[in-house]
Amino acid sequence: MSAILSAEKITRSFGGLLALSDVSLEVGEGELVGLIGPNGAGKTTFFNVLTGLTRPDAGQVRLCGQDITGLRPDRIAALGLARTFQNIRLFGNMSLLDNVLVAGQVHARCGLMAGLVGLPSGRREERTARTRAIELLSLVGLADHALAPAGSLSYGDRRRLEIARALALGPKVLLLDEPAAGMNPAEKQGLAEFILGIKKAFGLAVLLIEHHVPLVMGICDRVAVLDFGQLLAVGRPEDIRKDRAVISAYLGGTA
Amino acid sequence: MDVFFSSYGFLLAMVVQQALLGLSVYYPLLAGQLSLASIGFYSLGGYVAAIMGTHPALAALRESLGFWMFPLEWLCALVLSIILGLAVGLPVLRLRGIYLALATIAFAQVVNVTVLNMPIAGGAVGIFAIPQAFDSRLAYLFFFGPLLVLALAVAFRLERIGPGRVILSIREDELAAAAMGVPTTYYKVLPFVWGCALAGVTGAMSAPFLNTWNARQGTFDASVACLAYVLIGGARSPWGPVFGAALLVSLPEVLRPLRDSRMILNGVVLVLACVYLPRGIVGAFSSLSRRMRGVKEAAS
Ligand SMILES: Nc1ncnc2c1ncn2[C@@H]1O[C@H](COP(=O)(O)OP(=O)(O)OP(=O)(O)O)[C@@H](O)[C@H]1O
Ligand SMILES: [Mg+2]
Repeated sequence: MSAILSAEKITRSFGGLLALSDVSLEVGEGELVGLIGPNGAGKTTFFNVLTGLTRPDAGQVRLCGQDITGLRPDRIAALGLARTFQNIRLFGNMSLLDNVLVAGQVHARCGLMAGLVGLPSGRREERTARTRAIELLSLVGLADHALAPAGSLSYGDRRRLEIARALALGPKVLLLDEPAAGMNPAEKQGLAEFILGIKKAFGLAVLLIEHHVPLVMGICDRVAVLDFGQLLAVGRPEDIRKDRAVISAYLGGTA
Repeated sequence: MDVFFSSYGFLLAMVVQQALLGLSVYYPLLAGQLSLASIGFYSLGGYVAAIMGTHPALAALRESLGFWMFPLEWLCALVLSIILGLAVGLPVLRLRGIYLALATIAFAQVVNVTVLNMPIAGGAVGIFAIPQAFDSRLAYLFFFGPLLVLALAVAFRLERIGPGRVILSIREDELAAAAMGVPTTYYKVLPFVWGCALAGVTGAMSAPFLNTWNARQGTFDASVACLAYVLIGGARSPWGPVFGAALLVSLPEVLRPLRDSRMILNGVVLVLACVYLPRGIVGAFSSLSRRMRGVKEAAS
C-alpha cells in the first residue's frame, strides 16, 4: 500500500497539556480511515496539524511523498488536502454557490485584471467554475438553494455544504471532522453511503473523525484510536473491536 | 441654476472627493480589515502635488508639460502610495486581528510629524498658492468624477468575479478561507493597497482644488470622518461610502440657517443613524426594498 498522506511522530502540546504525543498514521490511496477517541483525545488537533492550522512541536507530515510540515494552510489545501470543521465554518453571509466558488478559485488561471476588465478568457473560466460548483451542489442535494445565504441553511445542510466546498478544491485526501454530529440514525446512514459514494467517484482517500462507533466500524477500511494524545491502536475494524487497550479506554466493554 | 452652482459647486466637488476617501476605507473592509491610513495617504498625495506644483526647481518641467503636469502629479502620488502601502500593509496583514487599525493610525501620525519637520513641505504653514487646474471649483469634478466612477466600477465588478469572492470570504472567516486554499495575506494586502492608492491620488487631485496644503489635512479627526462615511452609509455596498459622504459633508451646510443649533442637530442625526441603521443607510434601503419585493411576491 502506498501512503498518500502520512504523519510521522506528531507531537503537540498546549501549555502543559500534551494534546498529541508521537502520533504516526498513514492513509493509503483510496482508503477510508476512521479516527475515534473520547472527547479531548486530540483528534481535531491532529487535523489542524495535518492542514497547517496548528504547527506541530515535532514530527513530519507528507502528502504524496512531499514534506508539507509548516507550509501555509492555503498551500497545503492547494496541494490537495481538504477538510471540514467540527464547528462548521462556512462563509455565512455568502451564497451556497459563492461558498463553493471560493474553494474552486485555487484552480483559476486567469488573473485579477482579466476578471476586472471582463476578458473572454476570464468569463469562460467563470462559467466553467460555476458549472462545476453547481454540479457539486447537486451532488449534496443543495443545488436548488444555490443563491441562498449559507447562514440560512439547516444544521445538516450546512454539513453537506461544507463537504461540497471541500470537494471544490479537487482534493486527493478529504478530512471529515464529525460530519454526522447532530444527525439522526437515518441521516447518519445516508451520510455513510454518501461518503462511500464520493470516495469512489472522486478517487479520494478519506480520514474520518466520528464518535458513532458502529458507523465507523461499518464503513472504514481501517480504524485508528486516539486517547489522551496517544495512538492506542490502528487496524482493521474487527481487530480494533478485540483490542484490549481500546476496549478498556474507549469502547468501555460494550463491544 | 448659476447661483446654485456658484454656491453649491464647491460642496458638490467636496462630496465626490470625500466619497473617494470613504471608498478607500471601504476596500480593505471587504477583507474585514479596518484601515485608518487613508488620511495619511491623502495627505502625502496632496504634498506630492503641492510640491510638484510650486517648487521652483520644477518650473521648467511645468512650463513644458502644461496641463499634463497634473496627471504626472497623480502618477507620482500613485507610485508613492503603492510603495508605502505595501511597506505598511505587508508586515501587519500577515497577522490576524486589529493590528492594521493600530499600524495605520501610527502611520498617519508619522506622516504628519514628518511633513511638519520637512522644509520642502513648508512646515506648519504648509504650501500655498498651488496652481489651479480650473477656474471654478465645480470643474474639479472632471478630476474627481472619473476617479469615483473607476473606484465604484471596480467595487461592483469585484462582487462578480473570483478574486472578489475570495476577498469577501476572508471577512467571513479568515481561518476557513485559508483552509480552502485562499492565500489570505495576498488578498488582504490587495484591497488595502488599492485603497491607499485611491486616497493618495485623491490627495494629489485635492491640492490644486483646495489651493493650500498643510498638516491639518492629515489629522486624526479627518481619519475618523472617512470611517464615519462608511459606517453611516453602509459597508456592504459600494454606494454606502458615497451616500455617507454626501450626508456628512452636506448636512452641516444644509443646516447652516439654523446657526448654532445646527451642530446639535447634526450630532443627533448621526447618533440616530448609528442606532437605527446598523447596516448603514444603503443597507437599510436594500433590506427595505427586499422586503417590499417579498410582499409583492407573496401577494401575487
Ligand atoms: N488552541 C488550543 N489551545 C489550548 N488547548 C487546546 C487548543 N486546541 C485544543 N486544545 C486542547 O487539546 C486537547 C485536545 O483537543 P481536541 O479538540 O483535539 O480534541 P478532540 O479529540 O477533537 O475532542 P472532541 O471529540 O471533543 O472534538 C483538549 O484538551 C483541548 O482542550
Ligand atoms: Mg474535535
